[in-house]
Amino acid sequence: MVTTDLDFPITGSTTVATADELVELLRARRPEDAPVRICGTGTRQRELPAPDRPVHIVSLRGLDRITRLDAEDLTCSVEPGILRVDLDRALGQAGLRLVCPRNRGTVGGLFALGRESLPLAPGPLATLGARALLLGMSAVLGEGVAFRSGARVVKSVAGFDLHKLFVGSRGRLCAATELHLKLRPLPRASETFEKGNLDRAQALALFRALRLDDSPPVEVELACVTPDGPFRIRGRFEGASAVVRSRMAAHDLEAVEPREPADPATDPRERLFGLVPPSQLAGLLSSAPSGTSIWCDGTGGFALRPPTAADSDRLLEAMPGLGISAELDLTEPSRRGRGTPRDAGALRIEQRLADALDPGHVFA
Amino acid sequence: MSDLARALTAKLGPQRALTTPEALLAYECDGFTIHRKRPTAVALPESTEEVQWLVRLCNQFRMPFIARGAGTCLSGGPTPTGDALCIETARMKKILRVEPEDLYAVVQPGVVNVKLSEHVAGHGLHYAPDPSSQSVCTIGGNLAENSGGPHCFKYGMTTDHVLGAVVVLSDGEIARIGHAAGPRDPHGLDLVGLFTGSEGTFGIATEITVRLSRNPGSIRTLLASFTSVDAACAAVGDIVAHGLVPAAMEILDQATIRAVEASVYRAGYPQDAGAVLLVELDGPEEALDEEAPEVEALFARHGALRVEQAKDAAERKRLWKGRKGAFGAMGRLKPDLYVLDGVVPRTRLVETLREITAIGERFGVTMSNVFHAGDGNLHPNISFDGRDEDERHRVEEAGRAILELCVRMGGSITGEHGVGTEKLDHVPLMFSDDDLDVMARARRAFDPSGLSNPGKVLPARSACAETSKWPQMVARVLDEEAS
Repeated sequence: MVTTDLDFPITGSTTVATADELVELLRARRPEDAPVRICGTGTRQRELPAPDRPVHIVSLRGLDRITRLDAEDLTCSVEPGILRVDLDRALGQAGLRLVCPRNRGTVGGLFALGRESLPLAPGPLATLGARALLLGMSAVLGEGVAFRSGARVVKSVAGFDLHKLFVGSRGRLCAATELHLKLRPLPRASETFEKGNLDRAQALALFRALRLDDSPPVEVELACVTPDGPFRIRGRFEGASAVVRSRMAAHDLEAVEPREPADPATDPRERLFGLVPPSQLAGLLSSAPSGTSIWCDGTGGFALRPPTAADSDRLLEAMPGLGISAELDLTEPSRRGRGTPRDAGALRIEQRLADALDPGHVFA
Repeated sequence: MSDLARALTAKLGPQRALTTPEALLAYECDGFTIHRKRPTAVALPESTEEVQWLVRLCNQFRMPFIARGAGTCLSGGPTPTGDALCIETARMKKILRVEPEDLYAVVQPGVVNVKLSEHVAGHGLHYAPDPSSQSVCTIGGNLAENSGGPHCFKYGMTTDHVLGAVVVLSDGEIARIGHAAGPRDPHGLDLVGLFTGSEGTFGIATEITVRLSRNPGSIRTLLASFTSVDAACAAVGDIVAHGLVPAAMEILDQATIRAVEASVYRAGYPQDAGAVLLVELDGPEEALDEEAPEVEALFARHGALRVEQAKDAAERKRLWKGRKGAFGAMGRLKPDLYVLDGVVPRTRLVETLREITAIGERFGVTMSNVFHAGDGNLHPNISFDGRDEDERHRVEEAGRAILELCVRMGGSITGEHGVGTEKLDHVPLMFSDDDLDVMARARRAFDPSGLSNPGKVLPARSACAETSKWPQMVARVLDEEAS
């Protein structure tokens, strides 16, 4: 069931429970029918560009099974509608986990939206982000053709990696029906830390020291409610208990309780989401107007909440000069998807891919 | 001299435009030597602009083109299947930019893999993907093939370490894909993920942005010998079950050990052992103090005959020497070697290896195994004499049976060598016609003209329906480490 109010017009909704049902639904669709918007729980539809005409919602929430869990092989296969929280629980019982930041909603949404798939700091898989965890998939094109890409094993270079293309595609190209995932053992020790009331210089110095540590935290974020500060640094070390202890001590950090992912939709201001080379972070902070709340992770991902839409537009204009790529996501439908300029060649390929994989423009 | 050759020579000069039969001889195959076809000509560009000019020239003549790095590919990736201009990127070997603060580098495609790590070593950084041929293979070739290596288990494949690329498409236009801070633009598709491993069929990358990784604080390399491959595999399973993630876990069977110990790659492996298992742990010293004794205890639990831990860098190098020289050492067994590259779920390694042994016996071929145990990535090696038609035929049949077995076990026909020309006929073992049709659509989006390395990755439509035309599976593996 779609659980979140949508802010764009729909003609109706259907929840499918099997891949075959989805194939049948798409094959039965007529060209004059409303385009299809794929969703899971619907909790993150407001982060996607709004469709330009009424759509039929197809929820994959009914496809919610773990179809295979090979704990010893450190892999599993799941249907896209399974909630992340449910998958984490099942994996935890097997001493395993999906090594990427927790997300609200479904596992399919995690990959299709790709926010948590942005790369984390270089290093072992534990910090490569969700993109590195998708080994293969089964999916359906808008015309109802089912296909597979990748494999269930941890290594395969056969065929083209269409499953990589699925990550962050926002349901524009195909609808996944099964995802093959790489898993890791639960960490031996894990400690969440937080340090607040930092001025900008202190925050940037600590953020840099953590990011470039020989044993960096697996997650680290810098946040402030206005660029003048105060700043807060929060993150998590994982690994051997001796290492976790020594890194916490080396950076003079105190342990706090982990938090559930916040719901970004509760902030009424629009959001600019993007990638910044870490060396340009100070420039980003300097260019943000007073009253802009800022969140950055240790990997280049950031989210800004400027006070006004005009501020957002000014920031979007300034960002390319700093090597920053960004997009407006949480905002009114007409503004969603507005972003920094893209390379014309890359855009051309993207358009061709969309035309090739969804020639009937079934997916909105 | 053809019009194409004249145009090439006029633009690049005779040193960078090779057109004579003798000059083209070196380009007729890669490390997979049975499929041979000389290109029409070879061009050696030095810049993106020159690659662009060459591709436009190919469009003018409707001539397919093939990018080639060092030629170390083991599946025929850069081997022509018909008339083609070979665009060798060996002269594009500049490291254009290193950003230690942002942990990335921008390189030309002809940069040799290990040279990049050497170049950034002063910053305490390295480039993580480390295929066995890393001392000669190029970053451009690694990108095209999505290369792996012993350390994939912990660090991932090439696709996990490429952030972006400047790509010359088949119409000569340029696309800049990815971003220095991440492979996918926040509001774009993951073109980098799709491009990586496309075996040169999507265009030619002329600048590549790669992640750099921090060097681990410490490294411990352990070698354990066991009575059997089964016991070594069981130890690997137990290491993983205990929540340990070593940087590498490599197994060599008895036939390989004996070949290595009889060669210049001698590493002191016990020749009476049924298998040796090489485990490398890396990370902070405190973590390794905890993990290394655990690994040793697990070795003991599975009846390790002998355990050795490298005390310094020289010993570490010695323990790795046998593993890295294994393919070269096979040259002692027979004149030719076919290196297979299949993947199975790691938990099915033991039964798969037993069946592989049975397949070897059934076809009467000389088989040895060296493999990335942590990934379930098998490299069964078949030694043979390519001059013996009957033996070659049996090698071909055995190879096909092994790859079919890998797929039957839930695995893949290739873990890191690519499809190339070698495995075109095997691709339908993994993918249906519909799967391949969808992949072909993606390819056309990059290369509508079909000029970019045609005849690779996807079997021709007609070939899908044909009964198998099993390619001759004979490859003389040139051990680049040795050279």
